[in-house]
Amino acid sequence: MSPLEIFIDPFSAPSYLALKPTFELCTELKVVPTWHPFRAPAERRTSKDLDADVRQRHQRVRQEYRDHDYARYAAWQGVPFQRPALSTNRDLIDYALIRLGDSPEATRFLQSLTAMLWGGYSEPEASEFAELAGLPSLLADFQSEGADVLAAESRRVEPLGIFDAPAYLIDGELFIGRQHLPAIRQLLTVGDPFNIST
Amino acid sequence: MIDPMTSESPLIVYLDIKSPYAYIAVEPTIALGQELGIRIDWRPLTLNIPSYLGSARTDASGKVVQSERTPAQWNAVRYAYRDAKRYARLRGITLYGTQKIWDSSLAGIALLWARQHGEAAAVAWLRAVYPPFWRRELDIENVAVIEATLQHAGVSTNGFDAWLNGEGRIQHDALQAALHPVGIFGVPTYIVAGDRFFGREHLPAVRWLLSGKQVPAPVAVYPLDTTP
Repeated sequence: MSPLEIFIDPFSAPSYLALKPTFELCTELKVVPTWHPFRAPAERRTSKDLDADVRQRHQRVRQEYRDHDYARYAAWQGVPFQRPALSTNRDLIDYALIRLGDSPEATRFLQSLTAMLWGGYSEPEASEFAELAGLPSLLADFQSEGADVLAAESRRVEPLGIFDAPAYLIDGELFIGRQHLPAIRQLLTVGDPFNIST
Repeated sequence: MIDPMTSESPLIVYLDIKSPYAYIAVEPTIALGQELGIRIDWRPLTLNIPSYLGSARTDASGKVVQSERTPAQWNAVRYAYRDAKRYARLRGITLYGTQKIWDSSLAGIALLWARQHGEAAAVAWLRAVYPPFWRRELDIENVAVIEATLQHAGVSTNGFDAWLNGEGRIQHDALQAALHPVGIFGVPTYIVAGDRFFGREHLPAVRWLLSGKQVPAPVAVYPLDTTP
């Protein structure tokens, strides 16, 4: 079992922006994480017409800021940032990631997948995902057990209290967002910076 | 009228006393200002928490006695406090969860008052109010308590009472009304070079921008700061 579990949504901007520094950290520390799919909450875009409602206005302003923030960091990181269309193959993608789990192939799968999704390329057909994931029997396996595996994963994840992605779980401690990478680095190297156990 | 996006200082910082994330951002932000030798314009942003995290009230034992939050909002709130607490602990800061959603507008007006007496006065007041509030020792809805924090910070309170209910309240409310239209909604928010940064994870980017982008752009991260 890897010391680091990472919950990721390849379709969400914060997950996408976290991947490069996360890959770099794992490579540097020679840590192979266990990857899990997690569906980030849908982005809620409201119209200015609803600004009279402070809740709606707050959501709109916050979402507009996030869009601006993600685009700016993508530009600074030098990574493409074309928002992907919602996929009809999301369950299949989630299943592939669960199957890959703590295999080193999971990293390659996520790199290839997000490069396509965010680089403006067409998403692969369902039949092409098997090659992308390096799992020849992916489609057949998905059809026979996919629903059960995804349901079991949901039941396992729910009590963890994860509400957004990327989420990092290490020694039972949950971190949501790439901003925690320095703490995660310390946990993986010299120990707990927060004295969580005391 | 205070322009929400411009200042004579190169860095504007919006804070709310009732935000734990703002609290743990204060000292690293002061340290950054000192490191770069720049002035900081500290301003209040009085959060309307129910508008994005629902509302709830707990009793003295922490038991929820009233809630209008969804399960996802509860997960987010519980996580936010746990997260703020672990980073506070790193720096030896005591941070107890609040028992209700405070009206922090009075504290916001006090920050505007302190700000009028200079940046040093604003910093002294922030240091006088944040630690005791998060130890549950301050009632920030009480005028006498807020006035005492100003005095404790060495800020004159001559005329504060009248200003609080007149010009101070007008300035505060006008500033709050001007924030959403320019895209400012949470704390801490940093305004630098005409751009907005929400959250202390952007301090590396703020440093980078104010230092002339000498090195590659940083990733948004919380440095493991142990400054008390």
